[in-house]
Amino acid sequence: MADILGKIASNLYNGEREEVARLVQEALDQGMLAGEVLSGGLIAGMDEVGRDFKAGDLFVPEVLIAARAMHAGMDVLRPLLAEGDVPSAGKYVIGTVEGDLHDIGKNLVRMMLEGAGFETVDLGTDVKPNVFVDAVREHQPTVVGMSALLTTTMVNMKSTIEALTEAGLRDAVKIMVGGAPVTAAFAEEIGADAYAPDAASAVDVARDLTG
Amino acid sequence: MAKRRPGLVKGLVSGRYKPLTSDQVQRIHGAALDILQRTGVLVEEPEALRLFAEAGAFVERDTLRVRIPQALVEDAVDWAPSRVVLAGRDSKWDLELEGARVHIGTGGAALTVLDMETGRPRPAVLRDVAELARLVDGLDNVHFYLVPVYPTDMGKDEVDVNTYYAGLANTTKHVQAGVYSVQGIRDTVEMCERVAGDADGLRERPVVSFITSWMVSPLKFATDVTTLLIETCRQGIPAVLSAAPMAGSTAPVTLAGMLAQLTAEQLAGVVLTQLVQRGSPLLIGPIPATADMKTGRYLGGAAEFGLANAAIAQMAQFYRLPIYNSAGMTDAKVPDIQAGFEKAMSAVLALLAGSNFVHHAAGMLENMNIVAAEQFVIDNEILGMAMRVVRGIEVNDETLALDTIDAVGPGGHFLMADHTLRHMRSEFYYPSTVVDRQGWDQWHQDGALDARERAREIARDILANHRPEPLDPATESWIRARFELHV
Repeated sequence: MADILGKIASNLYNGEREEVARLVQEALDQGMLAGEVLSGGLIAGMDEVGRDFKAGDLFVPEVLIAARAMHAGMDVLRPLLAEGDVPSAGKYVIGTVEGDLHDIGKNLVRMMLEGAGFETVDLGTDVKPNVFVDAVREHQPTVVGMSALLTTTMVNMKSTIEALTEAGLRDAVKIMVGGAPVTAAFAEEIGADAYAPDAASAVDVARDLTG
Repeated sequence: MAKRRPGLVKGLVSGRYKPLTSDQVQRIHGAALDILQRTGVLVEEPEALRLFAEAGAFVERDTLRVRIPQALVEDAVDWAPSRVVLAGRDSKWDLELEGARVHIGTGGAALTVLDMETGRPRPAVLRDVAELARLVDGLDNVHFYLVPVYPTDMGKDEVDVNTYYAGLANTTKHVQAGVYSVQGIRDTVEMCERVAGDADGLRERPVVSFITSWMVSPLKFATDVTTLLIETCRQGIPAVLSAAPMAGSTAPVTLAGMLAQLTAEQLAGVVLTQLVQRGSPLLIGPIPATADMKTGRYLGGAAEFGLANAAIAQMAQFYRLPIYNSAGMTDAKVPDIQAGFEKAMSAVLALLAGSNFVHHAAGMLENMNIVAAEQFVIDNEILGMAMRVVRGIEVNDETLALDTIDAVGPGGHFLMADHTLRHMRSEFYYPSTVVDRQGWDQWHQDGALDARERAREIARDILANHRPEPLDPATESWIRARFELHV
């Protein structure tokens, strides 16, 4: 029994999503409980991914395909898990601010958050402040993340925070910001709760803000 | 006896370093055409779409995908000028961008200044644009002033005219920067026409040029900036087509694929500019770089940076288009050893490859994010050394020195030979005191300073004492009456 969990974990580590989904189903067919497969197979695999990534042995793309494989396994398990057993690190609304079309950083943060078990709502690029506000109302996230690459659009992070404040929603969420020109000092100046210099640390920061 | 001293060392013909063979250049060219015909580019800007459609590109209205046929690319490359002259207020700083002639200088839009006295970072402001212009005006190996900081104290509506004024008033070198609004472009052009004398004067000798970051790699035209690019072409001001993908995230991880994508992106931009105005002066602006696969962050100091920027310069020479690319950057946060070796390596490679207009090469730290006054001074030295390498070795009767060798004879010395006295000042590059060449004891007696501290002394001196040629008083008062300036 443990053998199949080991296979799930190692296939997840290697990003083999089809194999992970197949093995998860096989484990269930063998009579294992969904919760056991989740913790002994999927989460065990992702934990090792996380360790090796922090040690610099795994690179970002490898983490992303491992997370994708994990989701493939989760898709098989989800219908069988009681709602309380489905791990969710929190709900996260993310977008690139108004006037800015750059999204690779934002996309990378989103993918890393999903890999870490966050439920994400991606508003895309060129997101006006009122769209962030509407998304907070609708999705009630724990954290809102904003990205910008341009010096001229960074200022829209501040307008978004102001819009949330005006809408009476500022205290309902934690706000974090990032992007090449963004600094911790800037984040503080505009009244954000946190700043992250890259996607991996964004996950840690998001966890801190949620936990 | 005349002492030959070297004049300004810029605009030298280079190009001996060729990381790509001519077959490889051809393959990348073919690949770029394939990308434009198969994958195409995404264009949302309506004027650009209209121009592409009218010229015979294949435009998918529902997806906004534009596929550009080879013939249109070839025509556009033909129409774009192969030679663009960027002028300085002092014509000794004119830059002839063509072929494999090289120039190198500052770059661009950092938000943070590492304060020279406190060593602490602070936000960049308009005053820094002026002061750094003055510093750069006093550094002969920096060939142009591409405004190194974005003034965080300026609103979008006032940033263009203020930035360009601060640059032009404080250096006689060519001034280049980004532009942020159509009105900003128009205001800046109006001001510069005054500086150049009149409208024709500015087009004949453009003392400014505009950077447009119109491309969001991969293959997507940034709508608002495309509008600015079109306006720049309509104004007849040289436009820079800046694009900065990262191999591994916004371009293929393999360098060849990145070069092919970059080339395709640039060709699409060239087509657009030539459709707006046939003969529009431009610099293609491909800046190849890699993403740190461990974090996703942009890398300015990687070994691949110099290599890829050298290769993309070859592509520019293949198309016979002036190129703006990048070198001399570092991922170091302070002027330290990492900064030294990363900057020197890429600067030499880009220059040896014949890059016409290499930016980012003076003053910057943490790739494009920070500037430090002493770093400009240190980089001035790196660039001086690199240009000496580009200059190469002259072999002729005079330099072979056979008569002198015979006169000195076996066991003699050359220290007092006429030939030595005649050539010694021009043959070698003489660095400033950034470079210390003393023995240990003298160096120690002099305070045991490291290069950064020696550079600070030079920076302080230039900032305190260097007076660039100002704008003439009539122009100055006209500008101040016409525009609200904050510096």
